Amino acid sequence: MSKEKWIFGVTALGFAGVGIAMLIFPNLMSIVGVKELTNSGTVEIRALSGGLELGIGLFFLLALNRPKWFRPALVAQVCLLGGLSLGRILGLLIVNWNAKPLIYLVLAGELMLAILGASTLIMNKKVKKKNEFETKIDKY
Amino acid sequence: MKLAKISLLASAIGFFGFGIVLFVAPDLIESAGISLLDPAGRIEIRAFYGGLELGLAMFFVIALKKDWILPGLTVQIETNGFIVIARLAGIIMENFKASSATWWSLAAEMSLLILGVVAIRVYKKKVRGNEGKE
Repeated sequence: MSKEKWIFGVTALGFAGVGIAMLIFPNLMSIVGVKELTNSGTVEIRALSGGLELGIGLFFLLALNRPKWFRPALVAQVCLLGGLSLGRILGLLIVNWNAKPLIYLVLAGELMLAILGASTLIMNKKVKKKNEFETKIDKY
Repeated sequence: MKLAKISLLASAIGFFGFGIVLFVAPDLIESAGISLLDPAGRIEIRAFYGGLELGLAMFFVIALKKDWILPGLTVQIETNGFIVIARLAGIIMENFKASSATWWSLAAEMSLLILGVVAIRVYKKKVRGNEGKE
């Protein structure tokens, strides 16, 4: 199995897993300091923390079997997990890095997947350039 | 192609608007009936409702520039589709007791979903038509 497939598989599992958990148990958000106060709050958590994450997870699952989508999916991975990591780091900076260990654990996972996506994108680009260079040499 | 690009641009604007607001002022989420219990809550909203949505907006802009129409529209349909399903399920579970903001959000997300579905159908039809001519 290719490296991209492994990366998309793990990312899809992560997003879909959290999404399903939030859809069924929206009150789980209290673990990270977010609590629904009204019926609308519960609906909001179900929709965004549940539905959005499930939708993203499904996209990575689809990308697994579409080699033509590898590059767009890697870019999506860097954008999404990079955005999540940046938001979390900024939030931590504002509270003087005073947060539960769970927040650091989640940040580590997000950062790792963002870096893995970015490094795979860069490596693929290098391989493509090398192949193009070798093809040009062969022509000469 | 034009409709597909309009659809991706609309998604980018929607997610960017929502994302930037909650990235800068996470406490605004309280207007949606969600309370932040401690600093961790603020970090979570900034990361998830802010950073993730800004990342999604960025992906839609890149998809537009690189002509990644099919993957871009697929992300649009899947994200908005699952948000709509989850929001509808949530509204039903709460016996339709939801604020007007919830209904407005549902309308916006449904509009983006329908726009995405129409755009992908038109795009696929056009691609098939071009293949037929060749």
